[in-house]
Amino acid sequence: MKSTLFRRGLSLAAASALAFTGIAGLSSSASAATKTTLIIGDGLGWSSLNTANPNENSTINADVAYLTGQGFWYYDNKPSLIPNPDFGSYAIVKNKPKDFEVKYTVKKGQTWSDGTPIDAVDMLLSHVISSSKYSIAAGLGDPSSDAGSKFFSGGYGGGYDLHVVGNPVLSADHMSLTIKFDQSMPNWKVETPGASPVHTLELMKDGKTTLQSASVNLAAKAKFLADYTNAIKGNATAQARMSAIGDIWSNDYNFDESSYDRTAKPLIAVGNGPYSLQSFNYGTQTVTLVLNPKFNSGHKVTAAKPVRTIVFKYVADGTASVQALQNGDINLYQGAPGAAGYSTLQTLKAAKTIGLLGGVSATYEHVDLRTGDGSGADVGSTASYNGLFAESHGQKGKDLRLAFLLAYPRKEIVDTQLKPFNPKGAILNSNFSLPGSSRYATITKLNGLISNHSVTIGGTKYTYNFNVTSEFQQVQNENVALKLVKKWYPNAGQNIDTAALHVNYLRSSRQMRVENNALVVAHEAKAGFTVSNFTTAGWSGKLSYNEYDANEFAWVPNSITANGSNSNYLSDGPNNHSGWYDEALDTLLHKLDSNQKEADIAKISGTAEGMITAHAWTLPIFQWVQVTGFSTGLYGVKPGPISPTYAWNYWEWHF
Amino acid sequence: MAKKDKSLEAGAAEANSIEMRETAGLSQGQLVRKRFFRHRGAMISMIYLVFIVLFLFTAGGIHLGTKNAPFTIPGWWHWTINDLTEVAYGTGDKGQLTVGAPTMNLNPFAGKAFGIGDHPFGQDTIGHDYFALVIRGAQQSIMVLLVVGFIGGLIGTVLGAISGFFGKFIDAVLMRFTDLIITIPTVIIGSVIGMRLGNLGVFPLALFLGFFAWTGLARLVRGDFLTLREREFVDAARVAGASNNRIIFKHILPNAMGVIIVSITLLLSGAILLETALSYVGFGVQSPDVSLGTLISTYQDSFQASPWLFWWPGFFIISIALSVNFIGDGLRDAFDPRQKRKITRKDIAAAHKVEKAAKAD
Amino acid sequence: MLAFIGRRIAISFLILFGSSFLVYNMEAIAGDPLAGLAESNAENKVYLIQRLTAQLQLDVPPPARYFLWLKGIAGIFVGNLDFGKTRSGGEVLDLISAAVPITLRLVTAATFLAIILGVSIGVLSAIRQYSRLDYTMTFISFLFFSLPVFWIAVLLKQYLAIGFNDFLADGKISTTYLIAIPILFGVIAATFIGGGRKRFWISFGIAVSSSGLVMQLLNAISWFQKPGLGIVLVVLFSAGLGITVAGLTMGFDNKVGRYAALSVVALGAIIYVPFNMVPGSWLNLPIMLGMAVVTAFIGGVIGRFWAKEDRGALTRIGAITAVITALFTILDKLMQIWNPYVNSDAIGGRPLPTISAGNDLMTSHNYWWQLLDVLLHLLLPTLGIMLISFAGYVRYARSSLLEVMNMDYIRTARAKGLTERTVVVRHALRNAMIPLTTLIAFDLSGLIGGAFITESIYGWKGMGTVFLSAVGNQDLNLLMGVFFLTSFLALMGNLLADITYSALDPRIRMGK
Repeated sequence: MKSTLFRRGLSLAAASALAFTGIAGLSSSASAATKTTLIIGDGLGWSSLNTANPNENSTINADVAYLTGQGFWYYDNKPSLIPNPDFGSYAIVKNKPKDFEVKYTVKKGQTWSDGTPIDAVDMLLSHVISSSKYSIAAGLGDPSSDAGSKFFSGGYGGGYDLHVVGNPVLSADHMSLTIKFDQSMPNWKVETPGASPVHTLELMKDGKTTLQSASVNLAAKAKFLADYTNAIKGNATAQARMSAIGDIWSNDYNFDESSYDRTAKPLIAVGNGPYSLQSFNYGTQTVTLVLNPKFNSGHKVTAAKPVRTIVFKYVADGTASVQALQNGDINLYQGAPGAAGYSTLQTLKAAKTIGLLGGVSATYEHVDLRTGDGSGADVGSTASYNGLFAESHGQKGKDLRLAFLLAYPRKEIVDTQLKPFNPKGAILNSNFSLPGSSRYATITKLNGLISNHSVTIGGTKYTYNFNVTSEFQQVQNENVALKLVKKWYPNAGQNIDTAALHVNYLRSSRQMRVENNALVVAHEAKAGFTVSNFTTAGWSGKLSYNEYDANEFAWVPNSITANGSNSNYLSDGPNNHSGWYDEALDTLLHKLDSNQKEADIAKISGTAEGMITAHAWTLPIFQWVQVTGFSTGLYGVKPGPISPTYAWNYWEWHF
Repeated sequence: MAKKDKSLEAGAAEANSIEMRETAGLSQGQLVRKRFFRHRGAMISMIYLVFIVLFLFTAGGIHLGTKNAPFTIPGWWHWTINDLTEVAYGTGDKGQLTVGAPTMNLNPFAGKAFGIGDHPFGQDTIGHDYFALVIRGAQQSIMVLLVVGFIGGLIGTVLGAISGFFGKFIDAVLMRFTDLIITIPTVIIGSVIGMRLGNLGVFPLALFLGFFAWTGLARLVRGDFLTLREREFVDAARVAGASNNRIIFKHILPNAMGVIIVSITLLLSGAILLETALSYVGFGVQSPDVSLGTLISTYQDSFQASPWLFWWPGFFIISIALSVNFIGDGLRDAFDPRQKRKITRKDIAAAHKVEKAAKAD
Repeated sequence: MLAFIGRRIAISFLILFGSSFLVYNMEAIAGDPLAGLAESNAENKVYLIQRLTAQLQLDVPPPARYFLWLKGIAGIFVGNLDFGKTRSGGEVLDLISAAVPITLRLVTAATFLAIILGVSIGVLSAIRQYSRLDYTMTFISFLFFSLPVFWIAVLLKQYLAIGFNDFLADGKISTTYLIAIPILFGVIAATFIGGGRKRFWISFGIAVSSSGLVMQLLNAISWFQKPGLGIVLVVLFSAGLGITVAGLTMGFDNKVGRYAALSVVALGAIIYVPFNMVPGSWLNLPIMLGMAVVTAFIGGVIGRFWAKEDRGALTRIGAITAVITALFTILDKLMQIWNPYVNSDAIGGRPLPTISAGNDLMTSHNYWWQLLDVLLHLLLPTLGIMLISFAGYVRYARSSLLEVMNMDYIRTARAKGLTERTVVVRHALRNAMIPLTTLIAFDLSGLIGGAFITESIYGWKGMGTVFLSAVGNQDLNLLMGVFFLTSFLALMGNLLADITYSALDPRIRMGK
């Protein structure tokens, strides 16, 4: 039986050999197509075109929103705010402390991707989704109530909402909007209204799904203006229409659980970006954007070998991205891989498989020391904070705080955590501004974090500098720190576990921070501190808990504003978790709450931070790493730290 | 064909007689031991496992207790997972930069220093000794193995035995309770332990996994008890006036031992993989403590630049799980009275020799 | 029986109530849904926190919140099931119904292949107990059993996907592989064919030389860049497999079975040309499935046509051969579009992906392109899942068959003078499959929730990824939705296992 099997196998092999020769010329051959598609890896999963929805405010959604819709400005890779004159311009009309007006003008001749002209009526929606007063008056609901507004927007509750007066005034030619505020607005350049294709909302409200003719579109836009105006006059029909539009705005642009195809619902994809949304496939988690031929609201894509199609492909597992990039499954990847992953990326770069740019994100690490009862979320215990660093201890508390910050191993952390990714990685020397921004130089000159200080202990004068550049300096700082501690605890630092010098440490649960713990313990021990706990579980709710003497976590700024840090340091600031209190500082910081000249903003911030440094409240550590890898053959990638990070210079991308 | 069959039959008969002769006059325990020792894979695995456990716990020391009340016996390896050493930069064979390359060189002709060196498994990118990390991770796996084996084995056996022996209402209640435990996903358990209790080490995690991992075992033991309690020898014991306790422990349990031990080994290898998987997705052992799962998840993307960071944890997971599986296989063979073993030509020759010797006498 | 099932289902709901209460509360205390907002320095942070608190009802303590959730679930009894909303405001039910098909696509093929391969190798291993094959398969299955899926995934990606794509760039097989692959192939073939030492080396030699020759040939004609089978090979391969199927079911000496298989293949060869002219745009999945059924039916009819006795067996042979022939024809079709597919803009010469469930760009092309794209994206995850679950089936099938082979009725069957093939196929195998069926029933119920690591490694947004992200983001409603579905299915699988067991094994009575 088996021998027959043998014979059969043999004849089969022979026959196959014959057959193969016959099939050699079977297939048609095709030459490789010209590359026009850019595939970008994304770790979150795209879910919505509407980033104003507070649930949909992810970086990937913001990137897609930027590529499919342009506005008055964007952040470049420095980061600085770059105005976009192709879209429009804006200027202060009235600049008084209690009466402040800004005029926003849209440039003539722009069109939405369906051909409808863009004008200032399209900016009215911005007001609708940011003004609580409008929402209440138009019968859309009170955003601060539990039920919220019909427009589920993250725009309420901010500076615009608090200070806008009345409704924006539309110019006669419908090309500009004048908005009035009850105080001078510090961030008027950043917090600008955006344009939305309001006519499509009206069309969808009326059950339309397909693109309409020019006249129908214009009529729909007029209808929106009428609904918008009549709703605040109490017209029930208009209010009902605005409510329905609110539902569409809140829900129809979200694709958390469904696919999207432009051929079926073209109205959703109408926008004024260089690209428009073509499709989203839920099954494969890919978003496809294609060039928008009618785009004229910003830099045009003019490269000889342009990126015609952009695909965002979901890569759930962060570490899978490296192999995906190597394999060409994705052409562009941005993330914070572990040091090991980074060395793999470097190996690939050396092999010319990919290009690689090390960089930083706007997210930065800092350590805060508690001086009293923090505000913000609920407080852990009812008793007042009376721990090591308490303000109530007077000079002792301050000395210990200074000692702790001096011994804090910023250089070591940067050397081991940052340098491997980014050779230019450095200690961050300001909590108010990031390197690269125009304010950083002025602020660091004033904030005391890079200048020499001296302190007299027991008659001897010691100098120290927070900006440690050498190992020697770190040792020097640690010596000063130990002297400061010994002032109050003479036995400190002699391998005696002084129970009084226990520092209960809270840190957020980001993975990379783990490796810092060992460094912190080792160096603080040299100043006599015993750092323990490193609690991460439920850290965000515990930032105000009195049981923790030190908090280490990151701030994630998503814009550059004048008064962005105020909520952290004002005595009653919602982000002041550590009970810091200084009335003189409050007065100074409040100056930033009104419109100031750029140079003054830097000066005030620097002085304020100098006061904070003198208090020894907090210390910035470093900016988080953000690595960008891309396939060789893709050119023009220049990632920046602030959203839309790598997408800001889409017009420079080419193959 | 027919001729072949006959010779086969004759061979089988001979084999049978050889086996009968071998087992004559031996107790159940001796028999099991004898059969187990003969299972080569199981024996090698057993030796390997004992060696690896001794190696791991002498090298890495023993670390028990909580963070505030630690109980530590240091091991002979000179680095611990908390030591930060100077990172060694070097050049790889393709001229690329290597970070923390292993110093172990067991090839005397490689032109490098022979021996294990200071960092035999290399260093991670911030200077931890990787040998210490892997040893710690493997210790965690062994810990999971012991704790889950004990807790899960105990609960599963007891519940399964009670359920199968008493049947009826007790059985129904216990089996539905088992169903309830089956429905609770282990990821949830991991996330609760990991996120709520934080860094208490692997022990509480293993404990909880043990509390939830016994369901399969309980079902198998129950099934075995259900059939065994209907057997004649149980009836005989009952007629003789034996108590339930005596019947369970003296009569049924020894007979069910095979099933129990084999299922426990399955439980063990499953538990090792489960813990590493949970740690891999971030719901198991939390840093700064390490587990083989967290090591792989941290360093899997280093595969090209620093492959040793990827291979070693994998090697330990696989070798430990593999040897546990082989031991289970050996035990299964040893406990199964119907299981035939391979009768080699050597055995037959030996048997003939014995026969001849007997005849000569 | 019905009363028993009814009672069990009722109890299942009680169990679900208990376990969902436990899970809900455990998870509610495990993490903090507001963590993400804590690092934000948004101007209106207070408003945002208030918004999320209201949306997730965080002001209600977890035990009470559980009953709010349960109220929606209880709607199942009045036809108004409400799983609640996810954190991002969508319906949990919508998200689950979007995720289930993705998971099914991922695990179905892997599971069935694992069952088929695992059981057949387990059976072979048991029949040849203590042979070289048995030892090898024991070792391999234990090895696979001990592999962490996330570890093997990295290796598959590196060596299979990236390695193959790199190889495809120039399309020439390197000398190492030209030597290594035939040797590996030879070892596998010789191990499977078995026999004594001499036979082993003969089979090894033949396998090495023939596969080496084939490799050389493929290399010479750049087959991997422009693959194809052509009608000749389609017919040859189908005929070979058809004859094997006929041999296994009816004995290799039976001519009628062979004729039935060959006639089906002949029909397939006739259909080959018109089938290749069908435009891809006419096709979609339902049509393909329909065609598969028709193909099997026609094959069955042809098989039956040959029958004088043994109708069932011949029908089966015909149907199976027809499906095999169709599969080879489809494979050939896919090979024809391989080259244009590989060189298209989206693929860029690197067809084996390491992530994602598919390329969306393919929707603009016809059915064959989409099929090829989906299959290529399935390759790695399927292999990963298969390797590991396959090991379990090998072990279970082997021990189950060994147990049966020791039974008295097998001895009786042998004593009757039945051939070994009949004893194994007709008598032993059927009884050995009984405990396996219950295992399979149980495994199938776990399919939907089971592959969370594989899904996350390959970037598939199926149930596993959804579940993991729900745990990570503290998305309680979503988490409970997934939990509810998977544990309900697990309970039903459990019940199904009990029922099939008692249905197949008359010795076991139910409800006792």
